[in-house]
Amino acid sequence: MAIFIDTKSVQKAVTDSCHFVPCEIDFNGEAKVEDFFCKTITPSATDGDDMTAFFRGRPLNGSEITLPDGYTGLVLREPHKRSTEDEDRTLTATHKFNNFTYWNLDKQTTPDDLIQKALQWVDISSALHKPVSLESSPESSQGSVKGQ
Amino acid sequence: MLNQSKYENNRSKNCLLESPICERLQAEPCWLGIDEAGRGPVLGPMVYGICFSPLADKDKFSKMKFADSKTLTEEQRDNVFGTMNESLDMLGWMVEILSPVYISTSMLRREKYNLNALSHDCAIGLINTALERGVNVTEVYVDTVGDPVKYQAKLKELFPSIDVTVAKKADSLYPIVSAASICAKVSRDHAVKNWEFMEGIILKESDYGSGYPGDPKTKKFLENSFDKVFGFPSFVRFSWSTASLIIEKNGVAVKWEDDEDEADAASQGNTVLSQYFKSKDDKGEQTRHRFFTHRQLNHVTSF
Repeated sequence: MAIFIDTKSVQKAVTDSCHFVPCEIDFNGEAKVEDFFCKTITPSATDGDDMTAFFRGRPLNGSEITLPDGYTGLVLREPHKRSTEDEDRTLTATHKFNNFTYWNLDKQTTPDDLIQKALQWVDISSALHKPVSLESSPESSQGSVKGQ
Repeated sequence: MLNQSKYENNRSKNCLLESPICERLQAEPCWLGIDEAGRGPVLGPMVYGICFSPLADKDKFSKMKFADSKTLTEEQRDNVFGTMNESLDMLGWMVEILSPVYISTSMLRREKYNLNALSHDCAIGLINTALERGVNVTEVYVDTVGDPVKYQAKLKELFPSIDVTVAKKADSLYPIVSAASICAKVSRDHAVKNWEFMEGIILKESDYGSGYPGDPKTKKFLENSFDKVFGFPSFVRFSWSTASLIIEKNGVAVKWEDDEDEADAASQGNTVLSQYFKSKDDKGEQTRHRFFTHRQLNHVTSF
């Protein structure tokens, strides 16, 4: 069994906004995100570019994250459910995003937040897996790894 | 007529409205009354009102026919409020509108901020604002639904030079509190009546009833405005059990990261002693470097 992503659909996918919320919502489908959530977003009165919003009456603090160079966020759908476990699966992209907003529950966003720290792996992995040319000096191969 | 456009610009935020303050209120010693409107309802803002007037005018003030706002009709209250605004040479008022969003998000924080603490802080804030404006406050009268003794002690500690009286039903005992109560009630009614939903909800009739769960009109409104994902529009106080029970029953399940806290605390009581003697389950599984475990990074091999 293999999983394929239909690359043609990726080009056609519409760019949309995306929110990463600090709760599990037991629902898959369309919801009135614009009216009931996006309209609650306000730039924070305190410092930085942070935002506040609320969901089901609970206070959220948010920050925008731009995906690292070379990465694209995709919303995938499986148009045809396979009938047996062994069948290959094909997923199509319906939406894409290059940035998203992540939200903490009643907690200022900081570089220490899991999602920001998880993205450090992108820089570290490229440093680890980048081919090292023979001419490069020992210093440069041990070059520092950028955080965030 | 009360102009509340400042609040209507952003109904999610709290808003302070105030009358002009004449010189007499700064020069002469004044009494100040505090009362609130809309504490119980599941809908709309809660409003705190204060009214202050020179002690020298106590008799004149008492003849202005302020009754407890609850015994007056809405029209009568509007009229009395009108008279008050024609008497700004002998009184001043302020109202603080606490938005339903503020009430919900305060009470549903990680560290809960209860309605009592919230109310006290609002009342204290209003006294401070009056003092900042230079009002010469020497006596304060406060209506409370909670324990008057504790509340009075708290206020006396904060304002040692002011004579503080906290009483249940103060709104019917002291005309200055009745006047404060009228300001609060007029503002609350106005806010509810003119509510526009940022969620774009348009209702056939804007009669939400009393806002108490037993009221059929309130019930109907809650039914009509319900959304299974988001719950209710921001007009509703999510922290009221009336609202949370409907969401729990008819809404989509939502799990928060701090939900476990209570369950954990409950299960901690059931710890058995033998648990401490068990050997740790080390099945020799390869664990990933903590760089990955700390960041909750996992390999994904299927969707």
